[in-house]
Amino acid sequence: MAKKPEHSVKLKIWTESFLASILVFGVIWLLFYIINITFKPFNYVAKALKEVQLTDIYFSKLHNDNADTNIILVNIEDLDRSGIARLINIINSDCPKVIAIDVFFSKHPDKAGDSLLADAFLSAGSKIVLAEFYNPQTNKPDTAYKIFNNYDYGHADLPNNEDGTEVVRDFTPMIKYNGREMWAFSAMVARKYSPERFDALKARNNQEELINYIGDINSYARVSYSEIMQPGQKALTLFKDKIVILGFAGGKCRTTDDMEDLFYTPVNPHYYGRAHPDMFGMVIHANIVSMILKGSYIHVLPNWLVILISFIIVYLHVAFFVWLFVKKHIWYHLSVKLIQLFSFSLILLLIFYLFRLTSVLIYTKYMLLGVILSADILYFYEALALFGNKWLGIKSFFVNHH
Amino acid sequence: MKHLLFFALTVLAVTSMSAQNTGFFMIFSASGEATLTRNGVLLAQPAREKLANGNILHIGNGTVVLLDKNNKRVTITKQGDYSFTDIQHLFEQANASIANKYLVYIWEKMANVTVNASRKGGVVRGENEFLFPPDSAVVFSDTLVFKYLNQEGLRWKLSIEDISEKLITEYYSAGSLIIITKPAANWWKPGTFKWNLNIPGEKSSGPCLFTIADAAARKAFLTEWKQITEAVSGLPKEEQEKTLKLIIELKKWVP
Repeated sequence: MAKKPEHSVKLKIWTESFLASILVFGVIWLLFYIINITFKPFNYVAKALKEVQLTDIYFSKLHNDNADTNIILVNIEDLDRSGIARLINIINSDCPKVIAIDVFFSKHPDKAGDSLLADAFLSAGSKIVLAEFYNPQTNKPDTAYKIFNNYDYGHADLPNNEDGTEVVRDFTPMIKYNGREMWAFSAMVARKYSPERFDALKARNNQEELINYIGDINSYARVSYSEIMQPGQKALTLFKDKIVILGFAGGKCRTTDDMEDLFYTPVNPHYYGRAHPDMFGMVIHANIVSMILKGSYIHVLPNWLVILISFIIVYLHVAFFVWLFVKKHIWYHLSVKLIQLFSFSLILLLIFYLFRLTSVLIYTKYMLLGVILSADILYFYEALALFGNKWLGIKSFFVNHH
Repeated sequence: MKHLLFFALTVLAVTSMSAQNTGFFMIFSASGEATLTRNGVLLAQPAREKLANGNILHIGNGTVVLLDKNNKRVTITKQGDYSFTDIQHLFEQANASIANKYLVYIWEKMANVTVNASRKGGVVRGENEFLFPPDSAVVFSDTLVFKYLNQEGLRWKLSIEDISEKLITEYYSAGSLIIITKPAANWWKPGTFKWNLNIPGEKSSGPCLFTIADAAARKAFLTEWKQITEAVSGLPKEEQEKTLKLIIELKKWVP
């Protein structure tokens, strides 16, 4: 008989916590809706929320210290076409598995250079992967950058805005144009190296893939063209069976294109606020190749499951907060702030662990915002409960026990 | 609540993985001023070399990336000399668990650890630091160091000629150092040579002379050096070092 009231109290707490949790999610939905509508012309809040993502902390601070020894980056700096041709010949003499050239060669009156390049490509044959550009403004491939035929091309587009200030978190594995499949430059490189790994990417059939960065430029062995072309250089043993990516990775910048091939990525040590762009396009392609070859794709949990998990977490917090609110109100604020801090940190840590172990990414905006907002929303819920009790006669744990 | 707390503490208490006891680390890449000393021999271009116990990695104005056998990476940019044990410690930190790194991150954010620093509001020109043997230097050492603080990553050239200006060899570097050692230089023998420096965008240095001392000169140098060190031994340590440095500069010795 003595246990009955206690049981009843527990039931009331769980029931009202459920209702309060629904209220929390209603407020979150309203908040996002309001931000989207009201702040659209002054997009600071929406931008701030959008620009910093959970993975940025992970890649920037916790996990960016791996290396891939299968890929070697060769910095061409300001080498001209004939120089690149000589460089390819030297590299090819060391029998690499793939020679990928992250350089756009447009129609340009450099007949001698083009002729040397054509010869170099011919001698390297099927190892060559070239970059082409799919122009998003005209919605078709830019043929001006496709002057060498009979070689494998991959589109080297990286998603960004026109100012180049977006963080590159994903890439488009394949663009379909007039029935032709234009695979990404990095995907074509992976295909040459390991057709099975490429098939795994193809089987995923995703329009966009998040990039699981292994690190910055230091994650790859990089060589300057001048080291390779140094007179009297002994026979190379560096490139055998490797993927060699030729591209621009800093140096004496001569053109605007050189400067523009630098992007913001989640690996940037400064993951929020104003920072310098941190990664050359070539290094991003290398990171994508590493991901495809390792099969370390990021699996994003479906939205409904994220909302369900978030609801459960918020519900547990709300239940505890309701008990504190009603039974230990004097300690409510202090306890809630400490719990929020602890929960916030723990949730992120668990999410990072899960991501590290399984590459499963759970977006946390609902659960974290829910945990943070729930403490204050309980006051609003209490007001509603009092209103319901006074005018509609609805019994509430808040009215009878507070 | 107790269960939740226990679980959280268990997760947070995950200790860092111990560094892989590989026996060596691989120097993945090195740029700028970085050298490796192995068995007393100085390697000016340590990239792709193994760093084993007893070796010393020196980093001046440069960056070195090291790998362990699991392809875990450590990047060092801080100037200094690093022993194998120092490198092992750095790998222990790199191999720390996510929880460990996360707690450090949280702590730094909570403590608001930021360093206030002002930066130059202009560009630097003509401040490149040179460290070359003086003209007409007498070399008693088995190592010759040519240091040029190569901030722009230019590819510079050092030509060595004999006294009749016949080219003997050329050295190139895109880093900051060219180190010539006796075992690695097949031309190294007692005699007088010329060196000439070419840096893109700058005038050629013009030839400078240096003499590699023969056995008799080395013996005389050692005797003289002993006398000098004895003469200054009564001075305070700082004064001693200052005086010896001055004598070396005046006599154009490369000891």
